[in-house]
Amino acid sequence: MTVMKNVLSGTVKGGTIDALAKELDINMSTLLAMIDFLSDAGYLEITGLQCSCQASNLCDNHCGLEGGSQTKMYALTIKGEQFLSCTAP
Amino acid sequence: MKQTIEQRWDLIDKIAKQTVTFGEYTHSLKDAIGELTIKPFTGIPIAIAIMYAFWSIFGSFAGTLFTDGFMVKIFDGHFLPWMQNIFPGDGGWLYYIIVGDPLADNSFEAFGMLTSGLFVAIGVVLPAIFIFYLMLALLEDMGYMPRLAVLIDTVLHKIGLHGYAIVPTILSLGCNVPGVTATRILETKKQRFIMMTLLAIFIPCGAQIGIMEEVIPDTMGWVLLYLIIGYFVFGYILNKIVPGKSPEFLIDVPPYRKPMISNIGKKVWGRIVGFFKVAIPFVLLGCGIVNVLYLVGFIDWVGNILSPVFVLWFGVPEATAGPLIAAFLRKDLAVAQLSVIEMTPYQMISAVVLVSIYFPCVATFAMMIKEGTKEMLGALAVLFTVVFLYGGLIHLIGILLGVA
Repeated sequence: MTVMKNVLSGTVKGGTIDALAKELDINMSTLLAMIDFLSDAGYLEITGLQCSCQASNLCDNHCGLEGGSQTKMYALTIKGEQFLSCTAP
Repeated sequence: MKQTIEQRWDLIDKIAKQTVTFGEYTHSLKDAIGELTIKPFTGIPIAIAIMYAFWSIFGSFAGTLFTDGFMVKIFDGHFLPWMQNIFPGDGGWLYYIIVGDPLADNSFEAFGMLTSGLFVAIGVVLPAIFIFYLMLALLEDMGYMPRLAVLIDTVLHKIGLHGYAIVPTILSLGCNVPGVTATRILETKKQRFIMMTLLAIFIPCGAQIGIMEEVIPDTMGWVLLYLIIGYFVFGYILNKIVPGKSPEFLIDVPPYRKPMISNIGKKVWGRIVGFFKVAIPFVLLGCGIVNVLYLVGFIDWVGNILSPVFVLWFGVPEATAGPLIAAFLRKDLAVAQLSVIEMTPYQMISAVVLVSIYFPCVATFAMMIKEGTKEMLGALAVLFTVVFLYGGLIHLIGILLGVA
C-alpha cells in the first residue's frame, strides 16, 4: 500500500495526526505536508478549524496567535473515499 | 499505455521514496506529556481527576463560599426583610407578584420577582456560572479541550457524534444557549440534530446545577446519573434511527500552552455578560408570570388536568405542574419552586429529572428555532417521547426499588 493511501486509511480510522505519524513512522512535518497535498488534491478536506475558545462570541477576537490555539480536523472527501474503495485489495 | 489509478500512485510512491526524505517519527517531552491526556490508559484517570477538581471547586466556591457564605446572609438577613417592609400593599396582588409571600423568612420561599428572582439570579446563579466559566476558560486556553475531544471520541461515535461534541455538551453545562450555538461545529445535519436534541433534553445548565446543589445536595447525584444515562441511551437510539453520516476525523491537536490571564478574563467576562442578558430578564419575568398564573388559578387548573399523568405515570405530586410551567421560563427557578413542595426524596429526584428533560427553557427554545425550525420540531417530537418514556421508566425503577 502506498504511503498516501496509508494516510487516507488513517483518516478513515480517525485519531490524531501525531498518532498516525507514529503508526507510519514518519516525521510529523512530512506527514503534515502530505496531508496538505492530499487536501489540495481533493482527497481530504478541512472540516473544522476549531479554536480553543470555540462557541464563544468572542472567539474571532481570541483565536490565532493572540488567543487560543487552533485545531484542524480533516475528513475524507468523496474523491478520497472512491480512491480507497477502487484501490481496495 | 494508460495506467490505472493504483499504478499511478505506485509510481508516485516509488519516485517519492527515492526523492523525499520521510524522516523518522520523533517524540519530544512536550509531545509525550500531551499524549498522556489522549491515551485512554492515562487520559481517562486524568480526565476524571480534572472533572473531580472542576466539580469540587464549583461546589466549594460557588455553593459553600459565595452562596451560603455571603449571598444567603445578605438576601435573607437584609434584603428580604427590607423589601417586605418597604413595599406597600402587604397581601395585595402586586405585593404577591413583586415581593411574594409576606411571611417567608428566606428568599427561596418568597417567590417574588424582586426577592426570589434576584436571589436566584445573583445569589445562586452568578457564583455558579462565574466559577464554571472561569475553569472552562482555563482548560480551553491551555489546550486541554481538544485532547478531551480526542479521548472521548470513541464513546461519542457510539451516539453518532464525534469527540468535539464534548464542547457543546460542556458549554451547555454553563448555559444551553451557547451550547446550541456551538452545535454548528459539528459537520453533518445528523450530528447537529442529535446534539441539539440531547442538549435540550439531558444537559442541565449551570444555573440549574447551582440550584440543585443548594436545594437537593444529597440526591443531586442520582438526578445527574439519570441524566447521563439518558444522554447515552437516547443518543444511541437516535444514532440508529436518524439517517445520515457520522464520519471519522484526523485531528491536528495544537500543543499545550501557558494560559493567558487577559484571554481568560475576556472570555469569562463576555460569557457572563451574555448569560446575564438572557438570564436576568427571564428569571424576573418567570417569577412574575408564574405568580400571575397562580393568582388567576391557571396552575391549579393545569395541575388538575394533568394530575393523572403526574401522579400515576410519573409518580410525582400534582403540585409539580406549577414548577414545570415555570421551567419553560427558567429551569433554575423551577427547581427552587420544587424544593418547597412536600414529597419523598425519590419523588424529588423524579420531579427534578422531569424539570430537566421536559422542555428547554424559552431562551434555548428561541435559539433552537434560530438554528432551524425543522430540526427544532424534530427535537421537540423526540423530547415529548423521551419525557413520557423516561419519566415513566424512572417511576417504574422507583416502584421496583420500593422507594417511589
